[in-house]
Amino acid sequence: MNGAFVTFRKELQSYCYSPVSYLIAVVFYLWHGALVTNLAKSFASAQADRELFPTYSYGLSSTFFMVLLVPGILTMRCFAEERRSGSIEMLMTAPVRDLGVVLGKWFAAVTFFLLLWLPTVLLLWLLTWSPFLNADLAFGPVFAAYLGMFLLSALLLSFGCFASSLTDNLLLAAILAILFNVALLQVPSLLRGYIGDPKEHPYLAQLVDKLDVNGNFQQWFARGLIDTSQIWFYVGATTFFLFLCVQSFSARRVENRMQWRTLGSWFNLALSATLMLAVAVLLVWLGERPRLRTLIDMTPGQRASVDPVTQELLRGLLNEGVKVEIHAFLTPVGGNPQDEYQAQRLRIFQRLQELTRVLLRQYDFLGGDAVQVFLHDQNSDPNAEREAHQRFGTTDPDVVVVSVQLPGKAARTRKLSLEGDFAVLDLPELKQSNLPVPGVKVPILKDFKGELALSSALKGLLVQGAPVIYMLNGNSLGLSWLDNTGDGYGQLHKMLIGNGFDVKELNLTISRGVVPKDASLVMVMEPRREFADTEVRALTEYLNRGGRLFLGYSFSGNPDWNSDGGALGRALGFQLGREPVFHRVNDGSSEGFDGSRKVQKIDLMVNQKHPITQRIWLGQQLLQFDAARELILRTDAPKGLRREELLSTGGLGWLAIQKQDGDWDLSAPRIPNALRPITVGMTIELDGTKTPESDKAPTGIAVVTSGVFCNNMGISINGDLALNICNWLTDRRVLLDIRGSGYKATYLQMNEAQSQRVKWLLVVFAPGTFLLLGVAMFFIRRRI
Amino acid sequence: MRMISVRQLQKNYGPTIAVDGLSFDVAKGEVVGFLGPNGAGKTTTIRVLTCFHVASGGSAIVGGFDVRTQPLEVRRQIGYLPENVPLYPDLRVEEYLWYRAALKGVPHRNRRSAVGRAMEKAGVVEVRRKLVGQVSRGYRQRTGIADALVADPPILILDEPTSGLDPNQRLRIKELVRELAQEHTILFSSHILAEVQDVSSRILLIHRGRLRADGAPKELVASNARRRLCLQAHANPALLLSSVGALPGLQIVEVLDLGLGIASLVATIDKDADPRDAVASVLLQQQVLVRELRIEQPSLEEYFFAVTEGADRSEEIAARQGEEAL
Repeated sequence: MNGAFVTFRKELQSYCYSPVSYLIAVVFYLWHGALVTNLAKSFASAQADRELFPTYSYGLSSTFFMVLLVPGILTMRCFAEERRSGSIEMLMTAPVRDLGVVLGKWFAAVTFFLLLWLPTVLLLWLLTWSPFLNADLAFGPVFAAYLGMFLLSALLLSFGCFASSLTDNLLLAAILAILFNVALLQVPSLLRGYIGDPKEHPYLAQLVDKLDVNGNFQQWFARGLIDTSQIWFYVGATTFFLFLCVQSFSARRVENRMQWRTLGSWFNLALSATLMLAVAVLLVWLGERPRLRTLIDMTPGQRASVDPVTQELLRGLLNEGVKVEIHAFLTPVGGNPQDEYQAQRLRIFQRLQELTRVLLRQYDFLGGDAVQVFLHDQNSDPNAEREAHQRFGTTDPDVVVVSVQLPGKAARTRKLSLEGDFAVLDLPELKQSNLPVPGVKVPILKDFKGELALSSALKGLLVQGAPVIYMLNGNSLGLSWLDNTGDGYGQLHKMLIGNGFDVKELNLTISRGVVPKDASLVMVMEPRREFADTEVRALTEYLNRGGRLFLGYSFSGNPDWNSDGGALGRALGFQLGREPVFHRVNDGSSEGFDGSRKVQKIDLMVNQKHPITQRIWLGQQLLQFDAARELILRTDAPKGLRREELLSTGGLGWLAIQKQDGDWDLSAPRIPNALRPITVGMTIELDGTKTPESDKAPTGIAVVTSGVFCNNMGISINGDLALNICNWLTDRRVLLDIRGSGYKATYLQMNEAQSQRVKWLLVVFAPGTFLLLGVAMFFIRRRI
Repeated sequence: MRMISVRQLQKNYGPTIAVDGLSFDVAKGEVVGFLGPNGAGKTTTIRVLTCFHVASGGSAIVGGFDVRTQPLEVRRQIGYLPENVPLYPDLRVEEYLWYRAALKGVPHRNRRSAVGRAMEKAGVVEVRRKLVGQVSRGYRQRTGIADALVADPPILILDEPTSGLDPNQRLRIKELVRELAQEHTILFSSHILAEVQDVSSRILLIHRGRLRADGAPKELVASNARRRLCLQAHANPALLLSSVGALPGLQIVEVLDLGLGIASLVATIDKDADPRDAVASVLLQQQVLVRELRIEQPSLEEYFFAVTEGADRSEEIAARQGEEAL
């Protein structure tokens, strides 16, 4: 492949010497710079999410120009010029293979195209500097976009080379290539509208999806998503055109003029081209196979990725014969906003819809044939949309309906609202202060938790029957299960229902001292008095039957409420200490030892091996307890108990000391030795009584925690832990979750001076550099 | 040892026959002039030999390799200067040669010396930093020759190396070819006879795709064209005709009255004959004053004309006669 390398080097050299290259660069960067400057301005004024900035900067019309026109202009010279000037004779009589020459020329064009494109990345990087935007930009999508541009340019330039090899007319070669580019960039989206419902023509729709390079670039690569099956399409198509190019180039050896080809050689060419096409199609088909296909997520925080647990779940669906349909009703965002508030709302919806689309694509991708995703938007068939609306009884706009049909069962559905379930919005009506720019009161999209909502809904629907959780009443004095604010447990209640639990109240008086048979789990949140004997009896008998118990103790300022576990604790082998537990903030400061720092919360260490906490540890999720109490393992515990620590303070825990006036001294201890790990959560398993029906004794399990963590105030941080405990206790281990959402919207801010500097950088400096380079190159080549 | 061996070479461009059953050999160290009028099939033959085109029939072995089955090997044996010397105008002379050396597989460590040597031999050292597009036609030609030389191939094939050059440049190229002949086997084509005659040790004359003659220039002329006796004398034509025409070994071609009592006579003579003494003595006897008496060696040009135009004419006549007969 010496020929390929030498040709590559020479061609690249020619590109660098050619004034046309610099002209292209100057025009492109002038245009691109102006557009990006405007984009930055509009992002800053709309407080749009800056994470989108790089993605949007690759969706500008300058990119379109670059992809549409430039490949044709770059490659038109490749062979047509050699033919026109006759230098092809020199090339073809040199001892190099035709394949090498074609590869060298093509790859030089690709490399040069990428070199033209590289400064866009550099400029984005420069923009993150403090004189300009002074903001981190998401570079994952930038690199994915660069890869996408590489693949796309490889394809377009391979066709350009082929077009150039067909004629000795430069203009004709360029026009041919540009026409092809226009067709490839425009026709698929037109076709898609023409096909309508992809369900009726699945293969056609798939083909169009593959061909839609524009969509692939804008929707996947520029967003930081790399679907490996798409890569194979580019590889296959590029190989095909390069093959044609070699054929056309070599044909010059056989005859001087193409028209004198004999019928036989035409047949040969057609046959080999068909074979090559078949190989390309096979490659694409192989790339589509689920085993060979992966999705590489380069979005910031891998936001577009579905949680690994969900991934496994989705992959497993096919084996279980489950049919999942997800219908997204996305109303077109448009119209004329009357003010900035309305305009921003529209933008938020646009963003929400986009995030939802990306998310649903993942579900479609991972679920294979088991999951069908229907996007009902302006491009889809209105009849199908009406039908789906009727089927699910929906009327609202921007709703996602998840429908799950287990084998032999009727479909169950759940509705999710884009605004309510998928987004966390910061609306100025609710919160007037803390707006990023004072004086502008517009709503802000703070968080997107579509994956959480969607996977929870799906999981809830997949689990057959709803496990019943009984909340023991009467113990948690003054606390409400339905109170959504303050220190109630309304949020947890809602979350449990949302995750497919049935939540009931347990009144042992009414149930005559027996836990009902349908109970999957009994929960007691913040028991504030010792359990009565009847309660202890009922709960131990329930555990012996193989029941599950979740005891959420707490520390209270009222000493009467700090039960030490009592008889139930004796039965289960634990006891609670009296003093509140804290842990020293390990920020390296000496504060805490001198008594000045007061610590109110405990950052928890978790058991890395236990299924409940393993994923929380892997996700490096923060867990925080309010003041807890020490969980002490009783030495006089009944035999056969298996107790395992779940949560602890880590080595920096300490117990507060009660002062003379009865208050607790919350200052960190002065003596370092006072710090030690303190257990604040544990699991207890016991073998129950054998029943006549089974030889094996059932296992009763209890989870005991000793600090408040999942009331309305703590659920946003510790919700995953609470849900994991409930899922684990009810044997829904597949549902053990969940990576915390990494999405925190950040805004692009720019003052007037920065805006000016950005303009100078993008509109003057970048194109100016190319202009100077071009002029310098011209004089260097001519004069010296 | 044969460096080039062509057998029954055939090349058709559709219905047009460009080379029609051509066979010849070139031995090592020979400088062979490939001669023929425009459109005779010289360039086509050369393009087949350099593997730029594929023959329609027949075989060609170059440097021991078959052009059909081992084209890469063949191309390694050849330094080729195409007719119009198409070079890349955006590269400097040295850059261009550097690129060609790399393309021809000259190893990197030898490349500098190979390019230097080629430039020196071809005489382009003084324009090495100039863009190829900016040097004169002569230097372009030389750059092309440097290109052919750069990989030091055993065989050089030069297609019309002197076309479009002024006489001085032409002279220099001729000298260059003569120098190169010491180390390379050279096949060069031309339609200009003088050059071929000066430089080459052997001539291949082709016309309409066929080989019409093959041999050293002098032999060719000697074997196929007759020498002429030219005479001018103060006499009337009839006297000349009667006195000189009577001598043996002379065929009178023309007798002209040049006026002022001077007549001229042209006669062909046999190969080795020298009838000047005989003619002089006859005319002396007649007391005729001789103005001029010389033997004219025939020129290659005449020979060329005879083989090409003459052949065409006789073929035309034959064709016309055929038509009439029908």
